[in-house]
Amino acid sequence: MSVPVLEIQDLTVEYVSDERAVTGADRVSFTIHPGEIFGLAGESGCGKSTIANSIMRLLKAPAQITNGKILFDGADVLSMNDSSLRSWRWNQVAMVFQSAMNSLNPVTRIGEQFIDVIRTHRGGSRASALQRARELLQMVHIDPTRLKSYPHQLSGGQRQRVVIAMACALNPRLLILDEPTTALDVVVQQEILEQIRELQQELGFAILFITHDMSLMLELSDHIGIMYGGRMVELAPADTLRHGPRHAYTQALLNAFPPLHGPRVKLTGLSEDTTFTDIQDLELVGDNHWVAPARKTTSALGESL
Amino acid sequence: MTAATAQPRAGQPAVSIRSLSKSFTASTFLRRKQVPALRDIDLEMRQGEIVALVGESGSGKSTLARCLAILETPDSGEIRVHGKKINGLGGAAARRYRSDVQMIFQDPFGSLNPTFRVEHILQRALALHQPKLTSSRAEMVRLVTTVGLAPEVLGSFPHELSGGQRQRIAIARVLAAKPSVILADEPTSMLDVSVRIGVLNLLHKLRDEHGITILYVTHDLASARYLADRIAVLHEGRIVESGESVQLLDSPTHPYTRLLVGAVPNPDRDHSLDAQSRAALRQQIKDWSEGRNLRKRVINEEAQHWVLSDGSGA
Ligand SMILES: Nc1ncnc2c1ncn2[C@@H]1O[C@H](COP(=O)(O)OP(=O)(O)OP(=O)(O)O)[C@@H](O)[C@H]1O
Ligand SMILES: Nc1ncnc2c1ncn2[C@@H]1O[C@H](COP(=O)(O)OP(=O)(O)OP(=O)(O)O)[C@@H](O)[C@H]1O
Ligand SMILES: [Mg+2]
Ligand SMILES: [Mg+2]
Repeated sequence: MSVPVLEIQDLTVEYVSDERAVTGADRVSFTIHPGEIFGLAGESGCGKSTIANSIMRLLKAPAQITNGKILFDGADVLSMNDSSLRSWRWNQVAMVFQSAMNSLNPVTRIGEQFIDVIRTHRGGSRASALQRARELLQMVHIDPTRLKSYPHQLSGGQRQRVVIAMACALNPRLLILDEPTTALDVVVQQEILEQIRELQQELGFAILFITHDMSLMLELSDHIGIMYGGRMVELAPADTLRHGPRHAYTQALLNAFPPLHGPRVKLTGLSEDTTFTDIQDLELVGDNHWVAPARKTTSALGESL
Repeated sequence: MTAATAQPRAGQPAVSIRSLSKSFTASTFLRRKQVPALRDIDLEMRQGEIVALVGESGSGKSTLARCLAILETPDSGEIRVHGKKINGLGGAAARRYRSDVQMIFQDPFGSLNPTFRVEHILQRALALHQPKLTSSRAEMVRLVTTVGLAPEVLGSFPHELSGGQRQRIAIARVLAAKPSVILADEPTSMLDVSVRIGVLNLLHKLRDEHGITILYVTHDLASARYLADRIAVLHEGRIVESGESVQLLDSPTHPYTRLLVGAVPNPDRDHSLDAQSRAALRQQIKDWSEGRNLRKRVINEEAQHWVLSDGSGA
């Protein structure tokens, strides 16, 4: 097997304040190979953005990485100094943040923002940067004349596409997408995902795709990790996970999406007072399929219907 | 059932909406223009029926629910609930109406006062809607049990509960009014995916056990099919297609419905649309909505499935 683009080993991130410490990620490990789409799913607050921000070295106080390693092409990300970080970001790894459609600078034309990113990180002339920007917009099916527009002159879906195109500007080896479509209509969402898939096939980068929507995740990803309460509870190829989920939490997640066709059967999802505790380390249960044993508890507040 | 409006009668629809239109004035920089939010809506709901209203953002779903809740005044048209007109209802009659037709909102965080225990929240709702009640404690226990929570929850503050539990409390408060109609505007979209289905199951149970009529507003077609008996598809303020849920999604006919169905994430990747077929559908949507002589064409009588199409040509 190829050398992984990204290797996360036993990563622990804590948010420490005077009153208490919250563990955002707890001894999380996973690996992404070149050209692979890796999906990270789990409920709100389980630690998905914490992981993404750790990889980018964008965690801010009170967050602290208290354990573990992040390797990019074998190089230790956590020990990079500021100047190597600056050239590494965008060139090697780029991230589209949750709520990305509001991340463009509102007072600068789209074209200038592209030129800025490209020239800061790769240099070259204005003209060549502009040419690259045109190509990128075309790749996400936006008319290059839109480079003259300000962000507010574009729809939410168009802005989202601009941000994704910008992240691809320098042909990174890894693209991190943190809930890139949550605020969008299904039709626009479908278009954006299609473009991501096209770009990925054309440019060959790997993707870390974060969402809580399992049907989306299954549609797009090659490999999937499910997180719960800061821990990785199941890790498997998408098909394996879809047809044979082993962890009760994964099963609940998969059982939370009614189908569009076929018979209408009652689904259960996860009852609100069910929690998992004592989550152990992942154990190999099948071909490339890892599951973490855990204790399932139901509190006294009542049961789901 | 309260006698808030007229008593439900057998055969009479619980809700009947006729030619309802509503527009808003949008002021842009240079001029003010009228934006039609609802155009000529007809919709009937039987007592105990669950109808889902689906459509993209801005299609008019919330506006329709808000007209029904008399939070918004239509420009024209008529709404009857249990046979009685609600246009122009005011004062005590409006208060009685609002206790019979209750709304559940999207945000279970904003809709409960964080400084009160659940007990107090329900107590107030009971005092308002059932002033003659002698044992409110017993009634509160009954309410929280109905929504699938244990009596211990009465002592909790809203922030101590999960999103799904809070939405259940919001529903328990609605039930304190003994409504015959519930308008649920995206009741699960702020909840974690894993617990959404539990809230849908609860709404389903309320219909089955209490005969409550439910209007379920959502942009999620799959959940509409899961919960509702019938689906009405709203596009730019018009109901463009409607019918029994399973039938409608098995043979969506309006190009807008087909566009929506084709866009739902689908792990099998079998009925996903490509860019070309989407563009073609968009053109068709435009042509269909510009038709001069739009009328309902019945597709399946038994499933009450019809589509709005141009009657002049075809
Ligand atoms: N700045 C912070 N200070 C304290 N705790 C934080 C901070 N940021 C995140 N956390 C906590 O860390 C945990 C993980 O948060 P994270 O944002 O990674 O979740 P997530 O999986 O991305 O959730 P979502 O799906 O809602 O985006 C949560 O319990 C959260 O409350
Ligand atoms: N108070 C208002 N003033 C002006 N325009 C309004 C007002 N309320 C709604 N609208 C407009 O009416 C149309 C329908 O809005 P509505 O809120 O009913 O949509 P919706 O289908 O519920 O959308 P969403 O899925 O985003 O909630 C939109 O174009 C909206 O901008
Ligand atoms: Mg996040
Ligand atoms: Mg709405």
